[in-house]
Amino acid sequence: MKLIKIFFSIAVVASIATGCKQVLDTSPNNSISDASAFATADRCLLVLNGVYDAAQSGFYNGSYSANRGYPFGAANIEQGDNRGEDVVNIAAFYQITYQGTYNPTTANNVNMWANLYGLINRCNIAIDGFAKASGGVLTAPVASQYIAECRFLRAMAHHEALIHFARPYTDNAGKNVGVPYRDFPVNSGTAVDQITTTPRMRVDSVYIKILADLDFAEANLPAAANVARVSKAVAIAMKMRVKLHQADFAGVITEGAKLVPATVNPLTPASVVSPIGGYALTANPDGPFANNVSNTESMFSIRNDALDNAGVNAALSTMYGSVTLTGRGLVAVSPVIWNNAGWQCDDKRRTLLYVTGTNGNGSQSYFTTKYRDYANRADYAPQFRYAEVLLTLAEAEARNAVGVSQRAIDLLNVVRNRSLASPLTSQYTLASFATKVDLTKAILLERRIEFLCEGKRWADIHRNAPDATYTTGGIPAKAVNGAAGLSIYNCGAGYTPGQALIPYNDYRFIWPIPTDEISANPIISQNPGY
Amino acid sequence: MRKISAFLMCFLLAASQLLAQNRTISGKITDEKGGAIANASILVKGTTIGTTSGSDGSFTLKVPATSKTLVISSLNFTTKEIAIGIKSIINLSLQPSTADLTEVIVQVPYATVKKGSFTGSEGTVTAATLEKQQVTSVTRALDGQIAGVSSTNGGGAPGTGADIRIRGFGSVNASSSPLYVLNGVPYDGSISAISNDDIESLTVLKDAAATNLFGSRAANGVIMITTKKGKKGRASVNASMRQGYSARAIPEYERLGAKDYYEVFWEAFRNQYYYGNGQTFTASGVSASNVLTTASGLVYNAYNVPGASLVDPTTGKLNPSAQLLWNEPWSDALFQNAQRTNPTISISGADDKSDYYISGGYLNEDGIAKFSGYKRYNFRATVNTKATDWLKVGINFDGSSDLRYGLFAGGTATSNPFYYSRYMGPIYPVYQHDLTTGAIVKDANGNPVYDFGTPTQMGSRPYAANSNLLGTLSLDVRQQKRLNGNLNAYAEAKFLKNFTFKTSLALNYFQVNGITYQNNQYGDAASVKGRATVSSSYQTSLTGNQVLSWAQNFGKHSLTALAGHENYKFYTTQLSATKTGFNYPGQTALDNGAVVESPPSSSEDSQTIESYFGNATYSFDNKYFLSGSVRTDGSSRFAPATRWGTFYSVGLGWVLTNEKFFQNIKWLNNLKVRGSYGQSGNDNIGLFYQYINYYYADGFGNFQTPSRLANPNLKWESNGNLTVGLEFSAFQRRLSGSVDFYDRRSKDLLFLVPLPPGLGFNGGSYQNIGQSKNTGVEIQLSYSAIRSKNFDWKIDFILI
Repeated sequence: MKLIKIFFSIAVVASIATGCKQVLDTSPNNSISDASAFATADRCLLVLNGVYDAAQSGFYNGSYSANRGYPFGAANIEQGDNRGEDVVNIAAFYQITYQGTYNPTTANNVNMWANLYGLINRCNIAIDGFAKASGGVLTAPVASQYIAECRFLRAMAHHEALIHFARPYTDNAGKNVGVPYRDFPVNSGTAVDQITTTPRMRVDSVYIKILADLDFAEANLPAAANVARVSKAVAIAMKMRVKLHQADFAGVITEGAKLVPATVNPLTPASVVSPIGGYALTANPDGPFANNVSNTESMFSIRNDALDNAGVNAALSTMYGSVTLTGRGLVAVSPVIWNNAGWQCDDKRRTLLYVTGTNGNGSQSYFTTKYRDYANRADYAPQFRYAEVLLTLAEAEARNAVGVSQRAIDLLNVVRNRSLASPLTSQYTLASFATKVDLTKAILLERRIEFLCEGKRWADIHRNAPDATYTTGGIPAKAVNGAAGLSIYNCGAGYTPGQALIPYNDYRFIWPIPTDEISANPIISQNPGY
Repeated sequence: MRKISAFLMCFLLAASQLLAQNRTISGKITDEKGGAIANASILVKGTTIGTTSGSDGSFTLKVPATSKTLVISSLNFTTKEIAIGIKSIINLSLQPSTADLTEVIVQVPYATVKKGSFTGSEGTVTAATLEKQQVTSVTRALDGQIAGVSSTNGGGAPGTGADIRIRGFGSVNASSSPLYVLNGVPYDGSISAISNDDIESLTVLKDAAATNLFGSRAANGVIMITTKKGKKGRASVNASMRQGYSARAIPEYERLGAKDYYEVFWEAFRNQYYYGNGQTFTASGVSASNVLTTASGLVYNAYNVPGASLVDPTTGKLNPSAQLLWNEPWSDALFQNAQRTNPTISISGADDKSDYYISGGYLNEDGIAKFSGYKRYNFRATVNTKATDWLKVGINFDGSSDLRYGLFAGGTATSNPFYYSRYMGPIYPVYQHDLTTGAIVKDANGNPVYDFGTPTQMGSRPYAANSNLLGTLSLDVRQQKRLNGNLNAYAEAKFLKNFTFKTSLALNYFQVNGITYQNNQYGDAASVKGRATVSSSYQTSLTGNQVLSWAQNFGKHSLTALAGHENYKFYTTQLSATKTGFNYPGQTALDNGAVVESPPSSSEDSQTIESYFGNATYSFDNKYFLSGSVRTDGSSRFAPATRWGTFYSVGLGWVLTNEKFFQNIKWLNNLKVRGSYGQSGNDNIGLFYQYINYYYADGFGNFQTPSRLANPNLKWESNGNLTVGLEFSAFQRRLSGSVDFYDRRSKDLLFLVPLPPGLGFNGGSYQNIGQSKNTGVEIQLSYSAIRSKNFDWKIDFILI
């Protein structure tokens, strides 16, 4: 009996002792935990690629698989164009943006906000992980480069948020309410609390933060060009863009000096080569689009591929492409720009980059062929081209000078001459402009023509709106939604749009903050009027 | 010959006894407290001569002079025999039978307890009830049997169970399903794999005092399933055969016939021309008549007159000379009266040391939708033996293999026969008909040809063109094959004095192989030459526990104590893939497909719960009862800092009828009041690692990105359960029942809280923020209206 007692005492003790607490430390099999996501250099690179993927697309209305290219995979281009007057929205697709009927729950503005800040948080989580991996899993220079790439994307996202959700810097010297600047990772429940105590900053404060990120990016990015990832020259180009929005023309010139030689020959546009990254204009204006993955001009584009793109409801080739070319023909070129007398009728861009074709309503319109992969929708989404560097610098030189700037004219000509039928005779000269205002207006028009269907129109409208000389007065008058038929297109004949201008002081000039954000995070204030 | 003579002898004897009845016996039958027992049966032993007692318990019976013994019986009382002798007045007091409340054994966590000393709230269904039901799943058998238990039938397809909720929903996002315990060990295999014929009893434990020893796992109540064991005596063989039929309980809607259908559509077309196209009223009627059976109209003309003259353009009435060419309701073609066949056999027996129970069964249940049904083979073997005078071991092994077929899509899918048969107009036939004669078209073999509603047949049918469910469902496959196996073994040792140590191990394996094949000839997948999705999943759960218990009586004081440890490991994995391009009808294996539509995908998850628990009870003189339990559970679903939860309960009981001052109340047989309070937890939110941030890999090796925001502070949902109740039986136990009041409050409920959208995480993050409250009164009354030896009529009233 004693033996039995001993036996069972041992059995009881043993069985309880085997229930040690480690048995509860199981680990997930299907996904990668954050502890292991940065465990090797390869995985760190996968995380960085994930940040670029977040720049291409996040969630659309809560669905990850419903890729609509928010924020930068397609949507910033489509929204940027449809907020302006140089395209026509053919069907109901972009109507809310095009007609200014958005509200705090409409998909375009909601998804832009959610995915810009979604990208920002991906950047911040990755920055946090790379910083911890620095000197261990990653060498310090590699970690710094990865962090610089993330800080660049973070700055770019914040700037995009500013131009949609806040008044421009040039209004009230940046003292208006801007957007929240998030530079901390939200990867836990407690960090969620941190964003709920981070209100919208003043516009000028956001610019300070953006420029700090870009300075870091410039210092730590490699000079070598890589179109799908940011490089040193791209950081500088972004600084030029940001400073132009601040109307800091001297600042733009300082940055531009790093990317543009002091002397340029406007008659040989391709000879103007960036000292950093070696960027240069392609020989023809369709060069950046004929091969948009690899050319000398495209500095930074967001990668799309056959497996991962904005799909039938948002891809650039689908939306901008005519039905004739197997697109959906939903965003056509507007007669507002097509008929503009400042765009020469024999300009090569009119034939190399635009065609007539059937639109989404079954009638005919002009469509761009900048995005050509109708089958796989794998066109990269262009964000920075060397042409922008040249025209940005030209505008800064023009506006910074006391009189009419010859360098500004030269830089404008570099871009414009490439597309002119006879540059030698029809290029701009000092005699072309009575005042620097005329020159600046010519540069601004050239931006509309050169970047037509590249989504840059809204940013120009936004930054110049408070400027009495260069303002469009608000959201410009547009061709009525669905306007079509080739009869409205007449080179040089002008066009009287039917959809009324929305004045700058109207609340609709800026987008509303999504209701979801405000209800989950009440510290974010709504824009007035919504 | 001998038999016949024996029969004649009996007859003669009976006749002579009839002639000889010359004595009258009277008396009164009472219960143990002197209360009258009505309707008690008083029989002369070995004869059919007898009577029943009146409402005051008295009886008068004339008996033959040769009578020697009376047999007196009544429901819930022990049958008694009494010698008549020379007595003419016989007053008899019956003792409560073993079915009495004080003797009923209740299955509770890790033990059994006499119902009289149980401080918790429970309800039990026994084999006697289950035998009467033609249902496949235990969950359906519980329907309407126990107060506080609600069962909801979902689709009602063969082989499916019902959702059981005990005392309402205790959680919103975590599971509200009760814990099933099979032969003492938590069970998460297939419930429908257990044959009802193998079940000895189902006990539903409802309150904290009853369930708490299962801790967090019992937050939504417990259903204890006990399977049959061999009983002492000769080996017994039980064979049963159940045959049943099922049909629609609620008749199908009344629907328009062909005549009305044409007339109503004619009116719709006329309205369209009049309001939509701006025609005059008269012209609209003519246009409607002309378009009615054309390609822009209903396409089919089920009558023998030209389409344009089918409906009068002025009156909108059907041409009176039109003869209907066909009338084939789809519901007749797609539904059937379903048959159910369920033979079972069991062999069981026991001697002083061992008992055994072996059973097997087959079930074939058709669905009322054609091509659907359920087939199951099951077996069970249970052996218990006393290896020595101190060691008892036992093993139970059971398995089932089943097939569920005809798992049709729901909703508006054209493969849903319920929707299809309702949505299809009455003019569209099942078989192809000759448009002139109306005769069914036959193929080369003389078989009728299905009409798929295609232009090459009778026309392009407006609804569900290129489909014929009768034709395609026979070619499609939508089935699951499942395998469920349980192994349950224990060893129990008694040592020292009053100590018992029991260790149990239970393993469940549950595998599901699914095939969904859309055929390559007709319907949705014809354009891709057929589509098959093949999936396979299995789960294993392993539970091991060790329980040390002790019991001791000191005079009128009774004490028990129990301590134990339990470990639970759960693992699940699944794999699936889809291909199209099947060239061989019926060959659904993926190798026969040509094109990968969804590449193979797989996932796996695991979970562990580690538990320690203890329980003590005390009772005094069978009057006062006290119990307390505590259990601490650690769940791998939570972060190390929050994963342990400690849950407790206390219960009190007082049997008033055992008090002296109640002894004089004759009509009341038993009255017990009891109360309990306890807290348990719930972690069952479906997701396994909500406390860890996840990264999502894109599946192509290009990138990984954060996909979920974890909440490392997640902890157990907490459920407080207060119950106050009483149990009684009265009027010679003719009326019995219980009344329970419960107040069940849950807090820290796990909710998916929406996140600000700009975080890059979809949806939300789980947090402990919700609260819920369930209160209720459960009344269960049972009244024995008639109880005699061969006939019971018992009325149960259950108020939930």
